[in-house]
This record gives sequence, structure tokens and C-alpha cells, in this order.
Amino acid sequence: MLLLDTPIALTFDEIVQRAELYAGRDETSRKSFERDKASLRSLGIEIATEIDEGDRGATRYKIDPEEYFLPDLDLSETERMALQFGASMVRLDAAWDEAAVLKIGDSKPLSLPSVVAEMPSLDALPILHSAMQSRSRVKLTYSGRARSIAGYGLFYREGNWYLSGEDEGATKVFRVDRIDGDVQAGAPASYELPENFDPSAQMPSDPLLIGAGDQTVARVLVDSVMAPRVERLRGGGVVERCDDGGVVIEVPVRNRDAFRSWVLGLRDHALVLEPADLVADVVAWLESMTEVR
Amino acid sequence: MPRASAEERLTRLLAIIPWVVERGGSTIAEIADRFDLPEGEVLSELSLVQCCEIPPYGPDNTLGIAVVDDEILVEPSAMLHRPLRLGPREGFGLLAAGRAASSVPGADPSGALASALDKLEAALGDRAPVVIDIDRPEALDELRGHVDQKRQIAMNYYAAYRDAVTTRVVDPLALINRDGNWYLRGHCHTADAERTFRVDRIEHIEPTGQNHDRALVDGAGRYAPGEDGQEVVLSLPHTARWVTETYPTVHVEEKARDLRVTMVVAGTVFLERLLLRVGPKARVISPPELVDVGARAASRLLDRYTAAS
Repeated sequence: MLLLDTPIALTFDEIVQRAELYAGRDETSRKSFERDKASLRSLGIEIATEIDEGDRGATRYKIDPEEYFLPDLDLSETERMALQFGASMVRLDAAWDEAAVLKIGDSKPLSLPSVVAEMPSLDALPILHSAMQSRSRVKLTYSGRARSIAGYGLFYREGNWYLSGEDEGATKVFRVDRIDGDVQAGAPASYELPENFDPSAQMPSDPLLIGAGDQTVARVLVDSVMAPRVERLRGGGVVERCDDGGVVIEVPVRNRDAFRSWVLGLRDHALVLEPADLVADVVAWLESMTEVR
Repeated sequence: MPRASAEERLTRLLAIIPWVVERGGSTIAEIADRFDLPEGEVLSELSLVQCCEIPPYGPDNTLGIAVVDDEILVEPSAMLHRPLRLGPREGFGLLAAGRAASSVPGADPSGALASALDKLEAALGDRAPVVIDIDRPEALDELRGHVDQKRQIAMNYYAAYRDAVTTRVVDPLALINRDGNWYLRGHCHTADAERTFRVDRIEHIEPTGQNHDRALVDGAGRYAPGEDGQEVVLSLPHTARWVTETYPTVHVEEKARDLRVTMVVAGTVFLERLLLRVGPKARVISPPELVDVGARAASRLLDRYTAAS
């Protein structure tokens, strides 16, 4: 509150004098001060600093009220309740949304929702999101390589969070839980966001189409046990219906590894019919498994 | 209840004070209920700020917190009338949760939630796209109706661990999206217990004409192998790390040449599927009777390809 109310920024010595928060000007108090600053910043409270040329170059600190308080969201009562109820439908591991609801909310939802989505809340996510808002490139390590990425957007699919952004001149997608170590944001205003960018459009939702290989079409015989489920999940593609309830389905394939994994995951319920090179690929895979017996 | 960290306590405190001021005072019970605190801890939490000085500072100008009977009163201060800015985690958390909520069945994409999210996004500053891509299986809307109306259903269900389609009578209780899949949590009359069913494995849903009055007992409902589960130790190539990210494991050991993964499997069907997908570099280390599972499954499938050629 001292830093919030003061008309001029204060030095550490002045804070010690006025607030009596710290025992003195010793090293222990300085460490406590640094820890408190870090805690406030982690809560989203920005502490502005300036260098005082006239006081041996001492750093002065101040909190701008406009940075401290939540801007008026101008939510109607219905919108506030919708946001609160929406947050109650989603369970983030770290309950970040619940902390936010405490700030904007007014009352608890009357009943527990019957539909709930659980989502992982990874430490890197708010850092990546804040960096994107300030257009700061992020430095991180991914697949064993140090990278500097201009984040264009985050998306969540199939239980995983992804960062879509520019890395070495190309737009790429990175799985956030596979980032190694810390994420560090660089200087703000370092790049521009592309207009109307849809981060999720950068990665096909069908894993069989992820990759840069040539696309082919596989014909797969699926038996009656799995046919209804495969047809539903693939969203069509049936080219033949068998008398026993099985189907022949056409599947577009760009990623051969993903195709093999999918079709072998169906075990005895699926048989690749065409093209010959995909059949040979699956057969070779199975033969190599029998050889290690 | 685990003890909150100093940062969590500070966050909570920064929310409690404006909340109490806004109401002109609150009872200990109200604060405990609103902020999920034991009543006995409310006063000790507030005592943290009892001695904070406020402008114009000095011992006579502390943050005034008074306890009258069981009511907490906080001396109003201009600084306490507005809620605090959302931190990066809170802002992102609320935005992500709101976007996810607007993707699930029953949400109105152009309704109050959508306009609230637009306002929140504008307040958070420059827009940075956050997209929540949650799929909506065909049966989801129908199941939601049965859950909300407490209608008992009969359904066919593909039980992956048995590799067979079974017929169940279920009292549907909740729908949960977890790890990218939708699950129905319900009381299964076959098992006479709560069970979790993957929605994309449900077929032929028919209301029985009966209604139920059950409430959800175990909201978590995470899959756990039953008593017939068997512990296996696998050697997997490092490229198969996705296995440890996808399935529950007991232990994972990083070795120079492989990953040693201990997991509990409910039958050989799951194990066959896993080994076929990972391929020749996957091996069962133990138990001895399962060492050949992958090779036998591969041999069986090869016979089908030979017969078809």
C-alpha cells in the first residue's frame, strides 16, 4: 500500500523507514524485500522501477494504481454468473481460474455442473500467454535445441496444450508439456501477430495427416465389432459394407507411423488392404516383432 | 487440508479484504464458506494484515479490522474498493476455463459467457489467441440430456480391456472431459457400482423409461485396474515416451538404452495393443508368462495378412 499510495517512487531505504516492514537495511531485510517483490509480481502486481541519478543511483519503486486494480470489466450480472459457472465447469490442476473468480465473482454457483472438463495447468502457460500479449519472444529448449520463438497463439487439443509460433522463420507447433526447463520472455514489442491467426489450424486434428510426407489413401477392412466406432470416429469414409457388419473404409494418410500405430491398435479387428506399400510396411513391422521372440 | 503457501495466503488475503469491504462486513462463517477456509483459521489469516499501516501512515493509521461478536468489519479505504488486477496465471486460467466451458455441450457460443470472455480478454490487454479444441462426440448432447433429467439408460459398450461389446443398464450421473476424451460417469447396474465409460465407445443408447435419484459419489472416477490387474515391467525405446505420458505408470526409470516402465495392466488385450503399436523395440521384462505376448500377437496378425494375400 505504501508503494501504491506514494506520489513519488521510493528507494529501499525510504521503504524501510516509512513502512517498518523490515528490521533494518541489512542483507536479511534486502532479501526479504526481494522475496516480497517477487511474490507481488507473481500475483500480477507490476512494480515500476526507476533509477535516481541524485541518490547514488538508487533504485526507486512504485506501484501504478492502474496496474494494480482490475479494470472495470463492465460485466452484467448474467455475464458474471456465466463466467463463474463456466469456470466451475472446468477443473484446472492449479485452480488459477478459481483464484480469478474470487476477484471477479460475487457468489458461488447454486449447483455443481453435470458436465466438467479437466485440463492440465502447466507453469509455462501463463508465461507464454503474457509473453504473447506483450509480443515478447520466448527463449526455451525443445527437442534438445535452444530456441527463440515468437508466440502466435496457444491451443488445447486431445488433452494437451500447444504453442504455435514462429521459429527460425517458419511457423511451427510445440507441445507445451515437452518444453525442457524454464521459459524466459525477452524484450516486449519484438514482433507482430499475424492477422486473424488461428493457432489450432496449424496442426491437423487427424494425427494421420500430421507431417510433410506425400498423402495417400489407405483402404482398411474393419470387422463388425469395431466398424461402428471406427466409422463414427473417422467421420465417414466407408466405401463398402460387408454382409457380416464389417466395412471397408478409406483413410487419408500422410504420417505412416501414425497410420501403422492406429491400425495395429485395432489388433485383429482391422486389415490393411491397399496400397501395397502400406500393407508391406505393416507386414514388415509385424515380422520384425516375431523375429525378436 | 494441506497448509497453504505464503503466496497462496497472500492471494487469498488480497481477495478477502475487498470482498468484506464491498459487503460492509461479513461473518466468520460467510468468509470461511466463500474462501473455503476452516472457520478457526479466518481470524488468524486476517491478523496478518491487522497491523498494516495505511496512508497517511503511523501507528494510528493501521488497516482497521474489527471483530464484533462473529462479524468481521474492515475500515473502508479507498484502496480497498476495487478488486485487484488478475495475475498472469489467474487471467490465463479464467480465459482458458471460460473458453473450455463455451466448448462443452449446452454452452451458448454467442451468449453471456462469450460476451463476458470478450470483455475479460479486452481487460487483460493485447489479444493473444487461446483456442480450446474440445471435440463433441455425436452421443454427447443426448447423454447430457439423460444426465440432467436423471433418466436411466441401456447401452452397448465396447469394453476395451475385454475386447468385447457388452450391454449395460446405467444411471448417468456426470460427463467429464479428461485427457481429450469424454467419459460418462454413472452407476452401472451390472457391476452395482459407479463406473466410468468412454463416450466414444458407447453405442445404441436407449432410455429404459425409469428415472433414478442417485447422486455422484466419486466425481474423480479415474481408471484404476481392478484386483485382476497385473504388474508388468516393460523395456521401451526412448521414442515411446508417449506411453508414459498417456497411461498410468507405477514407475519409470530412464536408462541409457531404454525406458524401464512398470505399469499395471488389466489383461493381455491392452498389453498386446501397446506392444503392437510400439513395435519390435518394446519388450516385456516380467512376468515371464507375458514375455511372448507381443510376438504372439504379431504372429497372429501376420497369419491374417498371409491369408489375405
